[in-house]
Amino acid sequence: MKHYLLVGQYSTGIILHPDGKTIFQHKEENNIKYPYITVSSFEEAEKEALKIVINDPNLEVSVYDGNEEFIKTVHGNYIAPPVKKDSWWKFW
Amino acid sequence: MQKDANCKYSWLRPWKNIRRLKAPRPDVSINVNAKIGQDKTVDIGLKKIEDLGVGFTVSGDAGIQIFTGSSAGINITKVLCFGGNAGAVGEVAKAGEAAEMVSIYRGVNSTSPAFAAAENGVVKSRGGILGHSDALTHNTGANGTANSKMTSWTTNPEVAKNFALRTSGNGVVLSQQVPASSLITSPNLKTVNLIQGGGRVSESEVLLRGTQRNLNVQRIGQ
Repeated sequence: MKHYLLVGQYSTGIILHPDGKTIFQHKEENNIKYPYITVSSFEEAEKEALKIVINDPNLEVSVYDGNEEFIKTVHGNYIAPPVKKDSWWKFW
Repeated sequence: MQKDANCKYSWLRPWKNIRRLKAPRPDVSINVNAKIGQDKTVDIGLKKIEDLGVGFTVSGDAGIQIFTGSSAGINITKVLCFGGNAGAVGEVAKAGEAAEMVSIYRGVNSTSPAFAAAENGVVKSRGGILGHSDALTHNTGANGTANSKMTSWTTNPEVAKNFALRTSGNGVVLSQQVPASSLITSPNLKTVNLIQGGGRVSESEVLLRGTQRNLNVQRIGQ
């Protein structure tokens, strides 16, 4: 089943275009054409959303089903793995 | 000094009172070229008045009473009375029925530099008195809010909650009731994905000019 993704700013929730930079502006209250990224399944939606937020933790992606009903938001508020450093004694 | 129903202390320290005036929209001036006799009414055909200036001249010690109101539902929120006698200016006083009030909300996160002021119920514009007052620039421009003399509010409490929760998970929602006439219309072109769930909604933005004080403060989050 077709699913839709909407990219947004993590700090505000404001909806962006798929480029992740330009703010989406709607001109009319009704019949708004949201800048969806269309994917073929829920699994693909999750995978694509994760890809986007890992590349830019300042973004979040909300997932909608084929009827444009909200399912969930995937965001970049993840804990980054610690950077592996060489032990200090290696430098002696 | 003349004291009446709507124009209290009409002749007292006019310079102090005149500073409280503001004109949110261009004025419309209508001169009624008619002598209004005692207990007479003149229909000037207006459908809506928000602020009303009443100029009058007096002779002798005649008392003056100025009443505002209408059977046609005209809602006057402020009246400026100014007399021709020695150029005196009267006090702005509320008259007529109550103004149409709107509840507005603003969310401030604990990580915001404005959080300390918000906790005390104060919101200041980032551009100060020298900032711009262009609603489109404020809503959509780069650094539009940083250089603005206005502050952003929303009529949707859920949107304010969203802004309060992002990104630390706690903050405050400020709220107040203001006369609809004091709001500056925003182009309101943005859509927001609510962090508390529910998906996308319109930002429902409205703008207010200047510093806001004595706001209701509601803490939310962890």
